[in-house]
Amino acid sequence: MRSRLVFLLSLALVWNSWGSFVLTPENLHKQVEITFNQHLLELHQAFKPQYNGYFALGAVWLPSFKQSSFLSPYGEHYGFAFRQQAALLWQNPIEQTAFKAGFAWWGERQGFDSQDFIFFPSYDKFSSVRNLHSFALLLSNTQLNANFAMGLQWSHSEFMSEFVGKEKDSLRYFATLGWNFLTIQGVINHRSLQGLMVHADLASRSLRGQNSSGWRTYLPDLAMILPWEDKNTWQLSWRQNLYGQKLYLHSKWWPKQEQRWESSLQWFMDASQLVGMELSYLQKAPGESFWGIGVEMPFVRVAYNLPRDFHGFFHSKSTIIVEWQLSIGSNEKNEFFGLNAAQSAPMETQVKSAPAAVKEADRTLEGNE
Amino acid sequence: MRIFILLLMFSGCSHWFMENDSRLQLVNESSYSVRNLRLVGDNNQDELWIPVEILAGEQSEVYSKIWSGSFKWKIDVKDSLCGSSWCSYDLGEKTILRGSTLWSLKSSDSSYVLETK
Repeated sequence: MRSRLVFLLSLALVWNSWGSFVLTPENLHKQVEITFNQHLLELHQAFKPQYNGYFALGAVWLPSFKQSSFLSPYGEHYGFAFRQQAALLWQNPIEQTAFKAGFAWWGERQGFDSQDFIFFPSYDKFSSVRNLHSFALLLSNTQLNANFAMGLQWSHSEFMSEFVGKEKDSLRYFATLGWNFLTIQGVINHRSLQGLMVHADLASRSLRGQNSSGWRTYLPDLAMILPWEDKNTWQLSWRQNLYGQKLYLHSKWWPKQEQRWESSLQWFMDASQLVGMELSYLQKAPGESFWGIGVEMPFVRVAYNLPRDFHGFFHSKSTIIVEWQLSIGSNEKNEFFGLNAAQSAPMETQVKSAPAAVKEADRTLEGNE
Repeated sequence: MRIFILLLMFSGCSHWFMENDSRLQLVNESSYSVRNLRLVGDNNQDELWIPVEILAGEQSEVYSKIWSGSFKWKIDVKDSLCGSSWCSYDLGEKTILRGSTLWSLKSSDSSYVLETK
């Protein structure tokens, strides 16, 4: 009872005190490439030869219409920025070989609308609703510890406000090639390379058939994200296990931008990384920086000023974001884990034998009668 | 847990039980006739909100729009400066929220302001 009261009181406090952020038409356009790159990053994390599936749902909920506004020539129009995501990855062993084949789909609806909604936006003067899809065919080999994916990414304007302007054609193709700890991803649009991502996951993960303890788990995960046309947005990332694959420090730099970096300290309840907390610091430019905090649980994530929302949710800041979400990966041993996790979630293996035990008990009862 | 499920059910449905349109009514407390209360956009693309003439001391009818936010406003006044024709005045930026809004137009030294009543 008391915890409920505290919860409701804090909700009321939050309701009255949060800030708001402004979406510009430029924000909405830029979000397309950011989202596509995020899909590729998640594909890299969810698609490994040892894994069998990944499933994710997510919907950002801004409880108040004052939290986000859209900048039009008339002024700032209050409404709801939104992002609804789904992801599905599945691969299955091909019999009598070490190969697995499968597919992956990342789908997303994002934009701004004057009303909040689940399925049907109001399509008014200020709404912009866009659908983004990434689809890939997968092939991996467990013996070689190698994987390959090829696919396309496509953005479709479902409804665009006259203030946002027409969208340029945005079909692009990508390929992912992974071997051991190394993954290279390339994106091609109109015959030219649009982006290159290189990931070196040096940290040992028991989920990928490596060690669950020892010095190898303290090696870093490194990444380079190199958008080819705009060298200013080149990005380096370093993710470091600090303690038992439960405490991580994740830092990013933009080498071509002066004093732009961000860093976040992440603590997870266990190494499956399904439940965790995050404390972050982001410096966008000299003198422009902010702290952030977030909590992630199965079904819900609450965040304030986190870099992932700043980048992933139309440069939102100084406002509380609630995301209804579930993202879970699984492997051939039917273990479950979070995206990019090191170990599987602790499970009760006894549960499996329960129905058999019940049947046996029934039989004994019948015998007694 | 019940609160959680309730929140989940109503996230995305606030427009079912909250007002969506902004209903605006204007009281003309200046001593001149006014007309065409509107939002100012770029390139003189104005959006009319109250398209009628309101005599001095009168109150307009309610006009509703699905616009809410912080906008720049303008109005035409038939005051002594413009003789017998209409003069346009900037009223600055003012926020309008969903639901009913009653504003009054007041004059002070050949400028006009919108005030919430």
